[in-house]
Amino acid sequence: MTRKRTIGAREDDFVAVEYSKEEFGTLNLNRKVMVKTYAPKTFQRVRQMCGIEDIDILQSLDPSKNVRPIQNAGLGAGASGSFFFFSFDKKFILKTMTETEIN
Amino acid sequence: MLRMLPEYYDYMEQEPDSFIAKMFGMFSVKIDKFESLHVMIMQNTMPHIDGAEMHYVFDMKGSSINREVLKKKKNSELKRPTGGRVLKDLDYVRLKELKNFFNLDEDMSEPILSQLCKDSSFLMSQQFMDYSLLLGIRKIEDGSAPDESTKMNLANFAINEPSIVSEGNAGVQ
Repeated sequence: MTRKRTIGAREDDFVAVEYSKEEFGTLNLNRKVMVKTYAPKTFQRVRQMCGIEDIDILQSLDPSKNVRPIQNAGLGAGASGSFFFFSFDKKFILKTMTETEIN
Repeated sequence: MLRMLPEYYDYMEQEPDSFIAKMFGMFSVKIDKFESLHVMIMQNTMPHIDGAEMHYVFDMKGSSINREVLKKKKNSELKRPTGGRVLKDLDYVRLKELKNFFNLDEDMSEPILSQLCKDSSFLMSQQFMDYSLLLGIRKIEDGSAPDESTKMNLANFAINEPSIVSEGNAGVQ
């Protein structure tokens, strides 16, 4: 059986990583922050399928609005013992993962 | 997760109505010389409809072992909705009797069951073993129907508990 893939999620994207290296905007933490984005096109496609725009995530995860959710974050109800919280508007869940879970 | 991403992606495309939680992104963040922090952003499978919480939330694994949260509560103490507290299989069995949550006719239940079967087959094929079905029930306050109208929000919470049987090893990661 041959596999059909659509544009936006090419085979090579499943392992693609995108790096960005920048000072953290207005926070001016004077720290070097590096963000690695895994399989960017694939996840973008999933977001599109669900009608989620990048701006939705940025707004929901705005640090200034999420102080309380982060303070109240559950320390792993699950077996993984990961840290997770619900965005203040309850739209998204952010959870930490171990390197093993990433791969 | 990256290892199963192609299959996950294909499945989501084939089954847009799947109850499996949607993953929206995976990132590693490194600040100065600190250890990298890995995070995943995913859909909250239990959204607040019109800003209101579910009246009941059940995390169901289809087991009766160690699946009761309200064990010590008497029936008379269970009049109020349990709100954000996540209950389990045996609590559902008990509350269902007390509350008469909902009845679905076959037209409604068949598509749900069939989707759940597909979803769990997929999870099984990916060797996931620790996942559960999250069921939220909210009583709709329109006062018109004498029986309890309930809104169902079903979600397979699979990806929230990514315990995969590792290859050649029966242990859970």
